[in-house]
Amino acid sequence: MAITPAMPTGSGLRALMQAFPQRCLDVGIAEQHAVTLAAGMAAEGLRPFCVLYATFLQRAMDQVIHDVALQQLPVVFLIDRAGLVGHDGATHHGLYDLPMLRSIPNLTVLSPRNAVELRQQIGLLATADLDGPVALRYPRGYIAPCDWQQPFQADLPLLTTQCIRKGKGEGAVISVGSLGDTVAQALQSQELLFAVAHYDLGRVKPLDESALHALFSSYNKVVVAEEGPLMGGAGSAVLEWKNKHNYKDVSLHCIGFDDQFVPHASPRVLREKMAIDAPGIAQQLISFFTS
Amino acid sequence: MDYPLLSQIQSPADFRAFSPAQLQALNDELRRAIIEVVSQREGHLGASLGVVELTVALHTVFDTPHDRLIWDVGHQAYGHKMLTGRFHAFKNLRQWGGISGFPSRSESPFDAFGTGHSSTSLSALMGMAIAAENKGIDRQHIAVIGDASVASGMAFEALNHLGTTQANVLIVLNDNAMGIDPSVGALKDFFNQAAGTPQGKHHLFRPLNIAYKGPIDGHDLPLLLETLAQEKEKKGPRLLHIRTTKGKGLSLAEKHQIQYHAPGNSIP
Repeated sequence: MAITPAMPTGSGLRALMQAFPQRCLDVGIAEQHAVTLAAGMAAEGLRPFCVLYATFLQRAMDQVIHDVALQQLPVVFLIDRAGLVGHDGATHHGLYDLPMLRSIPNLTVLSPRNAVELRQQIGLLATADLDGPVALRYPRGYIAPCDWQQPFQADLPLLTTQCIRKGKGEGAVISVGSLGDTVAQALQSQELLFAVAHYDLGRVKPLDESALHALFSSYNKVVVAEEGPLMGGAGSAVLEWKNKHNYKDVSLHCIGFDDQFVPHASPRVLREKMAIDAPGIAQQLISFFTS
Repeated sequence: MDYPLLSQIQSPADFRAFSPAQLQALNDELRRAIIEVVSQREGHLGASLGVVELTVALHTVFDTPHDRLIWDVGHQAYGHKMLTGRFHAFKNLRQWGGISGFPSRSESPFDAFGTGHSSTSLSALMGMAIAAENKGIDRQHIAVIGDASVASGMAFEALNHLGTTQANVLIVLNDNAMGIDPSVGALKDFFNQAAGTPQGKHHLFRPLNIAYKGPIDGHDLPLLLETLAQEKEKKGPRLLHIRTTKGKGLSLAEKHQIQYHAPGNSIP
């Protein structure tokens, strides 16, 4: 079942609604109802997908906590427009879902790197045995042309932390979600960064601990880069984990947004102003890795 | 204190065949037990006392837990818990390792959906009704929601959706004109007026495509049994408006409804 609170066109559900009208519901501007309706379905053995924008999920956070996560109900949240949305600005950026979701027990939070991963994970979550809710976050916008329509892989695991580019030095960058492409560009743009390794975090909660242990044992300068607030974000999660496991010889730097609301502009201009476009990230990486 | 009937009840199946007189006796024991437990363990008193008759009637008429019953907010479910295998566990109500003060799916199959915060029941119940339809399961779905809780935005979100569906949902509107404090707002005034009109003639829910019945006296056990038995034979979105008194049966609790919403362990 798919449920959306008044976002069928924007979320791309329209085609599914036409193909499966009984299994695809638009419930109107009713985020709280959408989430708890999904909880009721999951309690009865269905696998509901609740499809909404990150900024609007904020309006139903109590339902995520009280009706879904507390009861370990296998609702899948497809969280569209996670990150900066552009011209709609501060009211519509999807920046606070991740810090909020990350603090909720029983919940898994996934941040796929690209459209292929996103689609494969959706296929997996449609039938996988789940012992609680899963949130899948992805950004607004169009994907670059790619071979996304690949057959669904059987026995796929939930996202893990993956190495994208091996390094030849003491530094590594962990990127979160689709910011991975920008980080890859940044790493290729400056000779000073050619030796830096690149990882994709993949799973924000629970963290892929074995991958992180391997990573923190191999590098002594690590950066987490995300398109979201520093407070409570994925970088903050890795920082907490590093502190808990006492990797005191590894210095960790987080790239993200300071404690402020982000205004409106085109996505390109916003990323430039917030220093998370490729030049901005490259500059921050150089300053950290050469210090 | 002695509870000759209640102490023998393991599940509603044990009293569904009771005579009207036995049901009334069970009802009176249940009210006594709630007062005794709350005086010892604290907790939510007024709301549970207000729905004693409704609790007995719902479990007598409907085939719980096959029929799904959701208590909105859930603080009124002490009677429900006592009738569904947890009477003896009440000595540890709200204590570490003991039973919860709210319905909990992990505690009993009779707790169809965990509650605690208000106004979630209609959405969850609709999800269950849609699931039943999807799977071809024949059963009833009942939510008990108060007049204060039905006024929240989330409840209206659900009503707005419900009226466009054939979801097999019975809403029991438990109108006691109270939240913790007196209910406020135009809706409360509307419910008050509805009580004075013949069969809620101009009622709010019918234009939303939700069949309306009531208001009826929620402390009249035979009337509740008869009315719910009629509702059991129906399908689709419908609402039964009952009027109750919070703290019913404990005169001080009826008189001082705010203090007795969740009094300490000092009931005189």
